[in-house]
Amino acid sequence: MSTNNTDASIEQLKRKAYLGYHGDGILDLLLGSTMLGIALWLLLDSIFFTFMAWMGFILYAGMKNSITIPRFGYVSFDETKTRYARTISVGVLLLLLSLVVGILFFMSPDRIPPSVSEFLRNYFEYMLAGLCSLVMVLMGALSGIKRFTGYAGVTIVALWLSLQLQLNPVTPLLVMGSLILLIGTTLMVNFIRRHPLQSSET
Amino acid sequence: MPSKTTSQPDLSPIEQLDSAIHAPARLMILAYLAAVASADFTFLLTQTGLTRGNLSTHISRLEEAGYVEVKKEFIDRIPRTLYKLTGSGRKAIAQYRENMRQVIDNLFE
Repeated sequence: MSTNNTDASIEQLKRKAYLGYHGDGILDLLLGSTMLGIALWLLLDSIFFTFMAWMGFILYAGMKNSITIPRFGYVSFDETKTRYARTISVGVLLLLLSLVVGILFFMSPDRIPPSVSEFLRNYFEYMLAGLCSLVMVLMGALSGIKRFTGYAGVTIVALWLSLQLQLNPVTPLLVMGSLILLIGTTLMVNFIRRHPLQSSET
Repeated sequence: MPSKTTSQPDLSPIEQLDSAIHAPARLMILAYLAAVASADFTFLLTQTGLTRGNLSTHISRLEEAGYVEVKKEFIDRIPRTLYKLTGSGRKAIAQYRENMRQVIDNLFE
């Protein structure tokens, strides 16, 4: 019953609670819908899908309040919560920046030097997919949820395969977005089955 | 038969065990609250597996002892009742751990 052992057990309990709280698949749904939204926007050139890419970020708190908390309960983790919020903010900023750059590029290609313009034209989709991978690595590293690092790894492999096989560059984003969305849906269904709705708070 | 000269184990630390903590349900609640910053009733309910009535009774006992603090907070504009381990709760857990260690050492060494 040493202090170190006890601290390790408390740490395990904290980890279990943390993973349980984020085992609802909402983060995966958010990430998947963002990637799929970007992919469909690039593929179909429809502004509607950029809204789909951002919808998840707007709906996150509402989904947590209506799905997770009534079933699992509310729990605050201090520094992990701050880290997590920071990760999401970085992700949002990076994606926002990429979208702004992309929109500016498509709206006024004349203002950009021809070499940069050509590079962006050829590799814009790959850059976006790479950026999504970077966001996932950040999310994995800072939140401690390892599957995000896995998603990043698979996205990079998909990017490489797409380059090798000379597929449409949007394909890796489309495939990974759909896959993450599917995983998120499965996680949420399992979470709802495992944690039935609790009646109102005492 | 033990001989009359055999020294008796010192069981005095048993008397010092904190009765507010020395119940599996309350120990479980304190362990969860020690692991997180704060949690609501539903979280403690789902994690400990206690019934509503039981959990409510044990939380009240811990609150009376001054080990758990109840706070009402607005999170995402929704009012929530949160439970948090107090400083004296943390000290009481450390003391309880020390007393239990002594009891076990004296009895089973």
